[in-house]
Amino acid sequence: MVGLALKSLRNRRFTAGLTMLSIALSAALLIGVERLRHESQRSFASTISGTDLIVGARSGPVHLLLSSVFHIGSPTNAISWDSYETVAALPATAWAVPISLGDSHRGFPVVGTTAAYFEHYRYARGRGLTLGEGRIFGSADEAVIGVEVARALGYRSGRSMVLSHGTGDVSFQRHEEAPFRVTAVLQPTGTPVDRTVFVSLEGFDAMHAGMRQGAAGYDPLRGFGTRRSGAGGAGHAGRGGQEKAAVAITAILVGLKSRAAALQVQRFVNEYAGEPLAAILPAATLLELWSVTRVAERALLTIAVFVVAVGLIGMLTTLLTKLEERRREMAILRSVGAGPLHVMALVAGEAVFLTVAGASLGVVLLYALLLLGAPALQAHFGLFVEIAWPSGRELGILGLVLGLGCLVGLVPGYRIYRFTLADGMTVRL
Amino acid sequence: MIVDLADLRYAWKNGARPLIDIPRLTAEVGERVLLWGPSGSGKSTLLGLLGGVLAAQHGRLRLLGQDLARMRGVQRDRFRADYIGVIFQLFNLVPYLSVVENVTLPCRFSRHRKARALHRSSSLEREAIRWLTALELSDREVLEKPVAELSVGQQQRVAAARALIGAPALVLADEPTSALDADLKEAFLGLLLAECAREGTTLLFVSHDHSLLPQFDRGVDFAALNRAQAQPPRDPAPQRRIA
Ligand SMILES: Nc1ncnc2c1ncn2[C@@H]1O[C@H](COP(=O)(O)OP(=O)(O)OP(=O)(O)O)[C@@H](O)[C@H]1O
Ligand SMILES: [Mg+2]
Repeated sequence: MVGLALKSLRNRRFTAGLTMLSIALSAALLIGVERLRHESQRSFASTISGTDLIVGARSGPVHLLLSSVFHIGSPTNAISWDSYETVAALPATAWAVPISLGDSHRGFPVVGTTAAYFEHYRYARGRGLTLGEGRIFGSADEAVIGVEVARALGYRSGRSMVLSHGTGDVSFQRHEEAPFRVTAVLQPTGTPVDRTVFVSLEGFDAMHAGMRQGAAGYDPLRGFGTRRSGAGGAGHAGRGGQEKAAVAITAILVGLKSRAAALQVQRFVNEYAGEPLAAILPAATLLELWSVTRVAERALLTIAVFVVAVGLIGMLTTLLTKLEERRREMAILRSVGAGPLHVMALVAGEAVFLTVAGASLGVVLLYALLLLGAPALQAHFGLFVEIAWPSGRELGILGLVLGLGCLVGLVPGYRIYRFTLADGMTVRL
Repeated sequence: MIVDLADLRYAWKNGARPLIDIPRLTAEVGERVLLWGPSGSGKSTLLGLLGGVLAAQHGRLRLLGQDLARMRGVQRDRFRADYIGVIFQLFNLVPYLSVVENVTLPCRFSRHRKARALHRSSSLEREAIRWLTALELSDREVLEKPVAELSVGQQQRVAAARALIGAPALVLADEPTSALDADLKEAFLGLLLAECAREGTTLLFVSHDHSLLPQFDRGVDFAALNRAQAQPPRDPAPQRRIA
């Protein structure tokens, strides 16, 4: 029976192939949407797994989270070193890491921070950063780079790099006089860290000092609103007034001795009198972010479901249109001993085969696409897609598609069953 | 007795006037019977009943001593697969199977016929080719063609080989020659009758064509046999004998 069904399908391989392809594409789309939703949430959550609070200038919590940790969107305004010291000195604080943002090197964000960053940053359920070789920056002209930066630009430990202000090669503000030396390349993490250049706070500031000298015609609002560069300019303007204060920073990553103190510290920061500050709980802010994106996800998922429905209806149509011409074939099969149920299984089995093969092909396509597209997703959206086995939810979706395919197969199956009972053994055209 | 039916009644719609009402019809082992009658009189329907594809509403239908009327659908399908070969008027072949695959098709549905075929030849393919050769269709070139490209006469011979493979006790032929021209008709019928005689297969051959009668062991006038057809005024049967 299976052999017969396959031969019959091979005979109609063109339409069968197209049907299979449409099911494959629709299944790939559906699972892909689910995969991206899951991966983006996982990737975001894992990036901030060790940080209890993020403190920055007042702005929307989502904005602060995205800019400080994921380098998405413009950085928030600068805050003073005093604020950092105050937060770090709180009794509930276990550690506090200052970061300065707003610059990039050939498209990769540059972050000014301290050695404590490498000690306390956690990703993917508590894993710390490891240096491939070399050491953390010691002086103002040294830099540690993420693995993607090293790979993309061909940098290695010991190599000099010139950090420029603004995004990409188009920048006019190349500080030839202030080259940085790469002291270490970080091991891959699958987080935005891989795409980041780390320098010391002093180094970060020195860059700006050089920039201010060399940029006579520099417009601080140039490119305002473009990713990563715009508001950085505004930040510099703010900093210009307080040259003497050690350094200005953009945000503070805070680890607490006890999570229970989080709300209390948050309230303290929000009410801090020195300057307007805001503290966010990354996990809560992520939930807020997901609640914003949920509408879009739902819409996307709904579209994907409809695409699958269209694929299955397409299969139903092709099976049904072929049915009339197959009545003759079925009468022949009946004459050599096939029963009505055989005949039904033959037709319904085709639908099952097409859906199973289509869905499998879809999964293969999706993985191929993920493998090919992961670098682009990472480069353009900072989204790190892990190539993992299908999750339970995805398998559930696959199962649903298969189940629907089988149900769809029952329609022509039942029709041919009725035909064979009504036709008797006479062969009709 | 291979075929033994008595008081058999069948209507396409339950409760309607029966199309078939046959007091008695028998056929002995190896007998080759011509059943002739006008178009629309229910000959194909009777073959459907004999093949176990249709179930009679009333009466007795024994084949090889087994009562088909008492069997359930699945058992009748089984029985047909094991003991009955069928040749249609036209379009006998499954388009996506090769010539040889078409001939061996019954062996996919019946272990019994497969075993019998393998008893005679070392493989099903060989047995298929043996039958095709017996029906004068052994040309390699013909065997490798897609079945849709065969001539009608060739197709009918492939169908005959399929009906005969695995030595079924009964072959039902539903006007297999009506699409053939006179010469081909003669040749095909000769081959079919000869092979049935050699195998001892009972043949029930349905046709409009009364003129074929001399080549058969026996002829049955379906119109006279079928009581259901006796009452309504019968127009003089539109005989298609142009030859
Ligand atoms: N599948 C069917 N469903 C309902 N009625 C049918 C079916 N097949 C045949 N009939 C009816 O049964 C009657 C006899 O048909 P049948 O095909 O048995 O005649 P026949 O003697 O084989 O005719 P012919 O010589 O033209 O093949 C016809 O009136 C036909 O309309
Ligand atoms: Mg007929």
